[in-house]
Amino acid sequence: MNQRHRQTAGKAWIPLAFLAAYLLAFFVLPVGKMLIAGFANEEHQLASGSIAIFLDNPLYIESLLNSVMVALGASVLAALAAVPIAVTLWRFRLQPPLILELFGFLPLFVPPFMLSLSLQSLLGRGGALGMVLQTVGDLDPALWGLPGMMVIEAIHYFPLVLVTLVLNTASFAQQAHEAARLGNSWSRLITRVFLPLGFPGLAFGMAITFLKTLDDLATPLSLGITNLIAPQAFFRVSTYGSQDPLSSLMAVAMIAISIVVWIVSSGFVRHGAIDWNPASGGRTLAIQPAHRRIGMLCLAGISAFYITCYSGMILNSLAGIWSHTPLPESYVLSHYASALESETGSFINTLVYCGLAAILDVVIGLAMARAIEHSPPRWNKALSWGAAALLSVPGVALAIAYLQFFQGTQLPLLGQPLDATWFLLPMAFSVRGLPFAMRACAFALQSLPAPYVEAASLSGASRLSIGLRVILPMMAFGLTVAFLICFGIAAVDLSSAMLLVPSETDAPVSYSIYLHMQTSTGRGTGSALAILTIGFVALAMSAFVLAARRGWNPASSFRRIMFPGTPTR
Amino acid sequence: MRSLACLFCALALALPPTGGWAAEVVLVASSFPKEILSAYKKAFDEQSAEYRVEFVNFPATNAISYVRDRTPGSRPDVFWGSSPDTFSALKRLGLLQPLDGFGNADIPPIIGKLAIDDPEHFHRGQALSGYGIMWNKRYLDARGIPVPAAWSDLARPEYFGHIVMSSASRSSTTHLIVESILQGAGWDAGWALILQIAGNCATITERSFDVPNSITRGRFGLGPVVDFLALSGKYSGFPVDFTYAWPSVITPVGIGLINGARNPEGGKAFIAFTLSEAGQRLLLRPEISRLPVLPKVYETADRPADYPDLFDITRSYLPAYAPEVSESRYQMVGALFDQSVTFRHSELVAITRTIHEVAKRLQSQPDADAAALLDKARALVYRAPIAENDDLLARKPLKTRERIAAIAAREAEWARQTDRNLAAARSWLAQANDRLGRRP
Repeated sequence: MNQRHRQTAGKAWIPLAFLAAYLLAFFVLPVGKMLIAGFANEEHQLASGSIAIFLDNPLYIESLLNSVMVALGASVLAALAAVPIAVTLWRFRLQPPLILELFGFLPLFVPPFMLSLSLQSLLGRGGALGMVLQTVGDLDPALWGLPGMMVIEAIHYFPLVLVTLVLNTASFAQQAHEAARLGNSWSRLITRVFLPLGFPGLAFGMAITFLKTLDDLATPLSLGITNLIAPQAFFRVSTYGSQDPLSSLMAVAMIAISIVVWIVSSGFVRHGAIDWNPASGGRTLAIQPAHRRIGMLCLAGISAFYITCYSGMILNSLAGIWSHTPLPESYVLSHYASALESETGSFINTLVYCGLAAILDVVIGLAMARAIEHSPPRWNKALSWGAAALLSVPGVALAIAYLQFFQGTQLPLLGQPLDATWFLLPMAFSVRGLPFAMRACAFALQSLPAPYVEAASLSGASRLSIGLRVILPMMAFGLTVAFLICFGIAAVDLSSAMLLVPSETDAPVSYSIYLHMQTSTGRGTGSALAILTIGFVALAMSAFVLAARRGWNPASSFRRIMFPGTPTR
Repeated sequence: MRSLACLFCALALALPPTGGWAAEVVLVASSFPKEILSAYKKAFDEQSAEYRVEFVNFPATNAISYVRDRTPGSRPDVFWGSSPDTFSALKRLGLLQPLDGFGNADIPPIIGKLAIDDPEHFHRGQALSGYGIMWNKRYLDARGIPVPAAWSDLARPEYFGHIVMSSASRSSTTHLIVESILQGAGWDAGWALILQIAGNCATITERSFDVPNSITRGRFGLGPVVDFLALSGKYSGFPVDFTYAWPSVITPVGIGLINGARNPEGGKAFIAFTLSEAGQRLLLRPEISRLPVLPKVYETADRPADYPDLFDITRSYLPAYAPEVSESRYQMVGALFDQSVTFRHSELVAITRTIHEVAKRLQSQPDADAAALLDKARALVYRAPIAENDDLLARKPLKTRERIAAIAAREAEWARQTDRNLAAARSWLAQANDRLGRRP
């Protein structure tokens, strides 16, 4: 026993060293070098030169303020829309079907610039609603300026805010009804029960909306908005190269804002564990048909709204000639054919990059979650949120840090500069997904009761078989969730991809869509590609729901531990 | 540990994400749209057993730093683009290899007044590009807007809010048009015109291709483009048309072999293919619609009836464009454009709207003082951001942090100056409006 312990201790440093090397090479050193580049002069002394220039330029101050304002506006708007609907669903005890709940996470898997381009087709002067309503005024979102971007981001992230809110409150809807029957007024229940319960979820959803909007590059560029900090940094890097000290400063400013937002939201998220597990909550009280109808109407209304928003893109993907007429003159399927023909490569690229990133995330997220779990309890929360805050580096900032840090690094075997290969993309994606991976992995760890492991090891099972037969089955659900989340986040990460993609053939699908949307003859192929991607994500989610419903019952893994004799398969 | 092993397996399996290693890769850096690149990739890969081509696609404005920042032996093999300035810079920096004893003998070295190849053979002409204005016929008809003929037409009030253009720092096409206006009309008058056109723009797009894209769809009415983007829309059946506007520029599309290429032989094979009859014929496809430099190709019947004629276009060419002038101040003109147009576009549009309104009121009720205020405001708003002889426009090594910081300091100065100018112009326009308002 003693020997075994020593053996374990001897081996434990290997994963730790791996973890440390990864964090050092792909996070600490690049970001550290960027910090130095922002604040030091050529002789590596602390200098305020670039800070003075940054503060001296009204454009940069304005961009910084605009970025914060748009991000804040988007998250507040999304929350304002989500709260009444969540209250309605809660009041009528209507839990949306699992698939709709999962679709609430769709905003994390679809880049928001698609919505912006779809609305341009729908509301622009060239066709559809925008043309019909031209007499009322210009509806083209590119002409709305910053409020336009705010609204688009709010529409995009609204389902996420709604779903986190619903998941956090749903399990207490039953008790609330009991309380209401005992004479408590609904307004009192909403302020005393719903809001306190829902607040962690709301804060989480709003924080994600804020951070994603702050970091968004493709959406403002598609709208022609440049007075934001992310596009400013992007323009500077593309004009002056990655050694530009001001873009480092902009990246540092973005990191600082992100950290503040994480810390503020962590203050609200007291028990942040979102109720991922679909099997929770039983219903005993019957729901009145009228209430069900109102709730369903709500959900149907939301669905219809989103289909309308994306109809511009759907029409584009099917349109032959569509120029300054309300509807296309002809419909073709050739855009889908050409998307499939020319872009299978970018689908494969996405699978490879995001798959790699997500595997890394799960492995590292698990290691970090475990390390945090084993730290003293009072440090627990501070550590986990601290790590998450540090890791929530905006994509633009991380890409700039990588470009600076890896510039000139040659790849040993291929004889290519590192930044000319696709290698940095999955690395950047994995760092970006890590905060989410940590939360999901921490959840997975929570579903692993220590007594079972102890019991198994006392009964003489080997470490390998404990891992395979106890730990893995019990954590499978959580780890799959972690993998899917990280994969999805990587798949839409255009902010870092736009700066790091080495060549068009190495582009992930989200960037290919962005490029295809800007070809000279319409947006057919890009739209078709976007629809295919959304379809693929929706299909993957539905498959996940089916798998979770069928046999993937956590109960079966319990049985295996209770009765060690039963075969694993 | 198992996961670690899995990770390495996945890494090993995933190394070539697309394609195989069978054929040697030719890496071509280009700013062309996907339609052209995919057509050439397909045709080249089919006819070559030895090589397959891959493209790095980015705005030509970034080409120089992209090539220079890589060590010899790890650079792309070929650069292919429409911007003569980029070729001028690549040649000056020693980033191109001469292509002697190479090319298609049937391509004339000079067409009309235009030299197709580089005199020292550092790059070859592969096609021609002309620059002009594209418009959507339905859009203009629906609003009763006349078709423009010259760049200066775009500054007229009837085009306010209907023009779309890209940024000179992000689009080499826009950069070339901006430079041709600056060289054709002179620095000060040129900037005045550019700023007025920009004030008439509905939006400034991030990539060149979004300009023809939003015109073909009828989202906006008209804009400055390179001919083939307009023609490909026209020959694909969209209600759009195009004119070579004055001061017009025709430039050869260049292709050159990079000095320090990874695969120079493959690069030569690709260049030879683009100059061959098969490679030239690809240019006539409706979705590409470029002007080939091989005259023989025009004789074939597989092009639309009103396709531009090679000798007609080169006859009308105004040989005023000096690529070496443009190249020497390339980055700064882009930066100036961004500072005074891209980043200040909403302010520029707002004040241009007021200027048009005051001018219109003045037509119906003339007033000398208000007219003087309007002229003063116009002069200030549409003023060249810096003087042509400014030290910043002289060619200097750009990459040092010191120099970047110096430029950034000047940019901060312009930003504040622009804000002050706009505030002053706004108050003058308000005064002019007051004067006109007081009259019955």
